[in-house]
Amino acid sequence: MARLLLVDDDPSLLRALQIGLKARGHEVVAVRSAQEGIDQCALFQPDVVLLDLGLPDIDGVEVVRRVREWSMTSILVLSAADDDVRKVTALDAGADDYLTKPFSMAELEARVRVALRHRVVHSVEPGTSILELGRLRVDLASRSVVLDGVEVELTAREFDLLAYLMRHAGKVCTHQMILHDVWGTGYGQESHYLRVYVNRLRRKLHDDRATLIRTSPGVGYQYLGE
Amino acid sequence: MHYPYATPMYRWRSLGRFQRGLVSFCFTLLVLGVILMRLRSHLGIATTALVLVIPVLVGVVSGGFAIGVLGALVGFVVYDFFFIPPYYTLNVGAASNWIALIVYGIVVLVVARVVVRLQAATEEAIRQGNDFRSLAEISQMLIVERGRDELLTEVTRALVETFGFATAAVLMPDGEGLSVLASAGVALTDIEIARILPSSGRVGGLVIDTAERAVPLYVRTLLSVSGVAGLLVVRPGEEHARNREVIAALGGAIALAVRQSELRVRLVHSEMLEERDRWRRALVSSISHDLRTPLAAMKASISNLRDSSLELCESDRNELLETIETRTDHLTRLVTNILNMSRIEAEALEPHLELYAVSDLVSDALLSISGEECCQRVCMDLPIDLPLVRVDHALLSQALSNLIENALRHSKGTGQVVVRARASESSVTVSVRDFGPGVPSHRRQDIFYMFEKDPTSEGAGLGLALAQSYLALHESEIVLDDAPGGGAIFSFTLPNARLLGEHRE
Repeated sequence: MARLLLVDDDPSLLRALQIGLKARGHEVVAVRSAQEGIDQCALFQPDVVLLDLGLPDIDGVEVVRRVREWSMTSILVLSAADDDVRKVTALDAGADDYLTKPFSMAELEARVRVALRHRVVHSVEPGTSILELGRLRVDLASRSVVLDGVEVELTAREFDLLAYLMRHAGKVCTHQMILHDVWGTGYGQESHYLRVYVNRLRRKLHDDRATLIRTSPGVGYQYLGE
Repeated sequence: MHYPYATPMYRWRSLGRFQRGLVSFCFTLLVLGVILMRLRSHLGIATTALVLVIPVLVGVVSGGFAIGVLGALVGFVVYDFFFIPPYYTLNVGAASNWIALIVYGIVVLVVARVVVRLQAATEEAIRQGNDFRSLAEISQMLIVERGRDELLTEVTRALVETFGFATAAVLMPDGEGLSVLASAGVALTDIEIARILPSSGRVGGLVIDTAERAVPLYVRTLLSVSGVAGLLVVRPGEEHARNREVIAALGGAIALAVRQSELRVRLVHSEMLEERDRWRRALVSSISHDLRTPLAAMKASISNLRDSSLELCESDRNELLETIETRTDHLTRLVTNILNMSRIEAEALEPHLELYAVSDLVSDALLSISGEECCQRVCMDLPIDLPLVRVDHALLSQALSNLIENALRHSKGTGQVVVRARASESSVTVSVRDFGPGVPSHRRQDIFYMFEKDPTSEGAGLGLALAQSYLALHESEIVLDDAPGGGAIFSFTLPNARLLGEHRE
């Protein structure tokens, strides 16, 4: 189904994930160090990288940064310490999503699915102005939003926020990233703005169960489009 | 041999001030008198009078004003008797001789007075200079950073030594009342202390007369920002009934220094709290990481096995089950270690010593490290005739398994680990050797600290620290050596239990 690269220094976790993911039909390469991981990103050309943040040789966040310099592959960060700061740093550095250890295979599989689905979005040709993701169709040029064939009225800021999340579909966008890119360079700490605007968007888009826009508590928002 | 009191200098110093003045007066008068007698016919009586002022001046300088008065009288008589004609009678003769005699008397008295005043002023200046220097020295002493008690001890000693006080003491609040915190010189009696303590409703005075000794005690309150910090009590020395200003000046400085040292203690305390806080955070984050890592592997394995839609081959299934087992063992050891760590911290770990064979301890240690692969890598070199040791079974096999686990981790790949025991006459030495890179010299101390770990290894940084603590409970310790041909050897020595037994009987 997909090409997955596993980077983790715990051999037993690596083995369990490898067995499980292979049995689910994925092609898997597993390595135990960051350097091997970076090399395999180039050699194996994975669709999704599952990267542990606490690697012995190079810090996980640094690995994300290095890979992002030349590769747009999805990076799913596995963090053992559930401390938000490291997760957010990794996401800001370019990671797409994160999972906190321990996690079930079902959770992992779901995240891998999201990453694979939205990998397509990144490959949308630069010239097109229309984003169509799941039930939503957004025209960036005429600034119109159509949900299940019905036009939705959005304010300018709401539209910008939605367009931003959709352009980064599948990626967990941190509060700081969104505020900085949508509100402007002077913003970054005002995460309460986001709560208000995301709530309004969800109301207008009838996203009661937050399946269109997912909240990562304390971290940011992710466009799922389901 | 040298007897200081046999020297003329010592005898001179041992005389009183008046006596010294008298001797110098008489000696000078004698010498000058003899010379003047020889020259009497050539000199006028006015010249003689001027020369005779000198002995009185000499006497006054060393003996004070009393010698001046005495000298004036004696000089008067000597002048009249030997140098005013008719000689060798007290008759004065001509009226001009009377005038010379009276003028001599007045001049001598006035000069004596002036000299005495001048001398007193000079002495005062010298004394004040000395006081000033001593004050400066003590103030310097107060600036240096040190503990409050040490500081006060030194200050009271300096007060006694440099200012010549008989007693200097500092009293500080201690629970209900005041207690003597530092004291130098003659100790304060209980009665005196009781008198110093201001009873409720009475304001403590500056001077308290103690009836028994009739020597006043000066009491100065040490005021600091937070209120009364304590009392400085001084008993003046016999010579110096002065120095109230000194006490006043020092009181403030001492109070400041006390306050400063208290603040320093508080600062150190709060820095310690901060450090402990940092350490705790590091500990929680480290424990959380180390607990979650095996849990992640277990959860992934279990969710794979439970997923009925997955078609796993027999060997994969076995591998997942083995992962769960080894990780469970790992987690069990980790939890045991963490619990023991908190017991050791709380000093609640009591070893239950009993007789065991070293080989049993080693095999029990290996049992807790599961995984066939791991156990195959451990070579045992245990002689059959090893004496028994008296140890706590749980703690010692835990210490051994921590050492073996550490060695396995650092013998890269499939490297071997050698567990070896050797008996000497009185003891048994157990060692665990790995074939890893060895321990660099700058980390030899650190690796036995909690949460000190090689950043490239997956250990929790607990094993060696705890093993060391367990051995400490057996009054032994782990020694680290370089192995010949690379790798590290961790060893510890326990007394031969048989000898312990004989020793007891």
